[in-house]
Amino acid sequence: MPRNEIAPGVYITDVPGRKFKRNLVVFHLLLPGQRQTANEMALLPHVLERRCEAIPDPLLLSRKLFDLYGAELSLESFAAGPNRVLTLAVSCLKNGYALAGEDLEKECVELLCNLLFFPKKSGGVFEAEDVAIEREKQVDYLRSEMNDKRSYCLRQGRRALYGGTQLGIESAGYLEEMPKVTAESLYEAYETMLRTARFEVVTCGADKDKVAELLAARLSNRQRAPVEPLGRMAVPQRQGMIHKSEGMDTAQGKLCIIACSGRVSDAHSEAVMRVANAVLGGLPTSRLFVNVREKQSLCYYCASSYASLRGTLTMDSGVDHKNAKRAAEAMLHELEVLQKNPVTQEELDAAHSAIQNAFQAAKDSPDSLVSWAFNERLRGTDLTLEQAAQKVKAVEAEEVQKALADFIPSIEYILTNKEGL
Amino acid sequence: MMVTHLPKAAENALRFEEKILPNGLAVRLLPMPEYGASHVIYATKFGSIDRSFEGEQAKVDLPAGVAHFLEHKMFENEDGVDAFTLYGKTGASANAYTGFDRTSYIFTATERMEENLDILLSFVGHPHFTQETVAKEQGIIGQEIKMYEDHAELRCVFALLECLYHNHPVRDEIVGSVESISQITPQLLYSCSEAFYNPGNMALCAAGRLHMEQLLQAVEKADLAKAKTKQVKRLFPEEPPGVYESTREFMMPVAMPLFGLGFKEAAPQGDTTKLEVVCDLLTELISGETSTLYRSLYDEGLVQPGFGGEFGCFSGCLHFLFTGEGEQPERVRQSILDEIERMRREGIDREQFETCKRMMYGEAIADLENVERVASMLSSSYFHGRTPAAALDALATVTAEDIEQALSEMLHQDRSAFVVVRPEG
Repeated sequence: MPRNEIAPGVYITDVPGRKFKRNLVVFHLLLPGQRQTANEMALLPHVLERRCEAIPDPLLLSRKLFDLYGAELSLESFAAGPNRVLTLAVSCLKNGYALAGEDLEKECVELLCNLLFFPKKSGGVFEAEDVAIEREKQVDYLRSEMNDKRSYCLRQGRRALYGGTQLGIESAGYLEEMPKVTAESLYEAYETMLRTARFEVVTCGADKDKVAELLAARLSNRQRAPVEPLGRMAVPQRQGMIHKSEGMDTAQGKLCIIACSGRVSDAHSEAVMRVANAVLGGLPTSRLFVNVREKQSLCYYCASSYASLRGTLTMDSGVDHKNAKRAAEAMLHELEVLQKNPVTQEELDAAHSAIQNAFQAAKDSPDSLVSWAFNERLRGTDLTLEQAAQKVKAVEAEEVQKALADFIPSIEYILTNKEGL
Repeated sequence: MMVTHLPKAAENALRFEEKILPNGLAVRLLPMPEYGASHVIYATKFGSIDRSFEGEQAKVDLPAGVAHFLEHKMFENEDGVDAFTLYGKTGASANAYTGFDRTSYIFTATERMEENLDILLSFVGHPHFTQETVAKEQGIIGQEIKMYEDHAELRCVFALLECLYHNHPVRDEIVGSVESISQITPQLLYSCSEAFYNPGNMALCAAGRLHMEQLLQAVEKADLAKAKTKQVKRLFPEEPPGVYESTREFMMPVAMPLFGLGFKEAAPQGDTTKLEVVCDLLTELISGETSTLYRSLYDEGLVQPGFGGEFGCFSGCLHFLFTGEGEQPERVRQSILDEIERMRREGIDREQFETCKRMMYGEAIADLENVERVASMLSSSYFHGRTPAAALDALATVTAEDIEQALSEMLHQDRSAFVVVRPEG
């Protein structure tokens, strides 16, 4: 994918988007994850998204977006492997759909730049009121994470396995520490980010050159000292599985098992793992779905996912409390069978077809195209969807078996009531 | 600039093809030749609120959850090969979902379209049930029900619907309960599929890289053109105008209280296109991100980012639901009621009204770039008896006075209910 450097450490990639009704412009700011600023980095997008010097009232900012025919603004911060990413995205209708010939794209990109480079300040730092409001919201968000039992179980499993490491830095920050974030500490983290982050800008449907010009102008009077993001690292393998249970009075129990290969994938092994995951638990024809859900009726959902930035394979399920142990055994059994035997040609064909279909379909969504382009940068593989599809097509049954054989189940985490404990 | 007309580009983007077969089966297509994928929906007007009907035989009453149960079972074929296995060979991504008023079977595919259409049209409407397979599905759906039982937001919404309605089936969960689905038998499922899975009650809608000819050939091949439409009379219970229960509280393992304030309105009659636009605008004006209410509740820490309003409009029922999460639910309830009263008294903010119209226009156009959303819009508009452009036309013509008129008739406290889900312990 062609990528231009428009300033030191600032890159722009354009993905084709002529057929879409919207433009999408995303600034990804990428920098090494740091435990000591994890709370600030988690809070930052929420404070930036409230207002800026040009639009100093949050209500007026909301109305401005609606006036731009419902332009969508999205600011997020998350951990991507050992690094931290802050994204600022704006999407708006293409100018041809404006009712009075407005230049929607220009206004939206300017707005994005204003939010990033000219936040509303007081005394040289963020407005204390903004920080206080959003800090409280973030505390509430962290307190509420147990509300979604499935993702809570997955998070708890990850925390128990590698929570204290570079890969375990929390995307949303830490409940006990969040109240200590101040306007000053947040502004310092913001300034550091602007100075050191690598910018990966991806545009879809928008005029890439105009976006580049505007961004370069905003950066021209800033002191920049870009820092290289950290290289990918895997969750280390461990011998012997950790078994953890947590009590919660729910109607259904939740269960997750995380297995580690101890290494991150390259372009080829990434393709193999896409197929392996599809066969294990990524499709309705997968082993977990057919054997654990359909044949044994043990659960409603039973699926797997592969995290290439960490080298982990996760299986999770929603089960009757009394069946949790049986379901865990059944899931581990399915993994073991695939580790010891090649997949059938039928399964291989189904996985190939489903992945090709998904890759093709991804070309029909600006969000998918932009995500793909950025994630390829993160993975360091930098393939187009067509190139990735070719690699998947070449994956053979023996390779799937070999790749899965590298995974050692490392933790089983169960969320259950008294009956299951 | 006010939203009063559609630009040429928008008009072009909304052009679709339609063919209604003599037996009533509707086929709709919005060709998107520059796209790689196509999305196809084969849907029946049979949802969770269809709980009683008269077909060619006697009246049939259904336990809650039958439409959803039937959707699950439809994937199984008589030869034991389920539809997912067949799709597995073509690479299509397939699924199905059941709503209050319809059941939809979908796939997205980039190749082998004829095969995928054949699979879809051959398994939907040709079910095979046995005591054994029904019993197995009761176990799987029982787990699905338990998963929803732990979903606090869903529990809150359905508790609110239970409070608003005495008898209307919208008060029952779409999936039913473990008890209600235990009453389902193969015979009951056959009765439903015969009554509702026939051409006059169904539509095949598609968007993407397809031609109408491909759809019609698939219909022909599946013998759907010859299938007979059966007349079914849907029966709804009498619903009193007032609410069933004005307040309810219960506890769940959540971190902070969840709440919902609902308003029950008069049942809609006839074409609801404009009414739905008015309701949509009302929820935005009262509690959307451009409202002073949302901003003050958010900044005072009384609600979390997910706070907002929505409406539901189905056969025999219309309601508004305002839901959120926060430590002081009663204060939020009072603030919503006060804001509605203020708007009734002072009139709506004209500038905000136009701003919301622009946003809704933008959202509708943005949806047209997505094959799934376009096919879904074709299907939804068909079952509402309109074209996809009708909602945009209604949006262009709706006035601030229409909203104020609606506000004088709707959202009254004496027809409201309030639910709070409190943390355990």
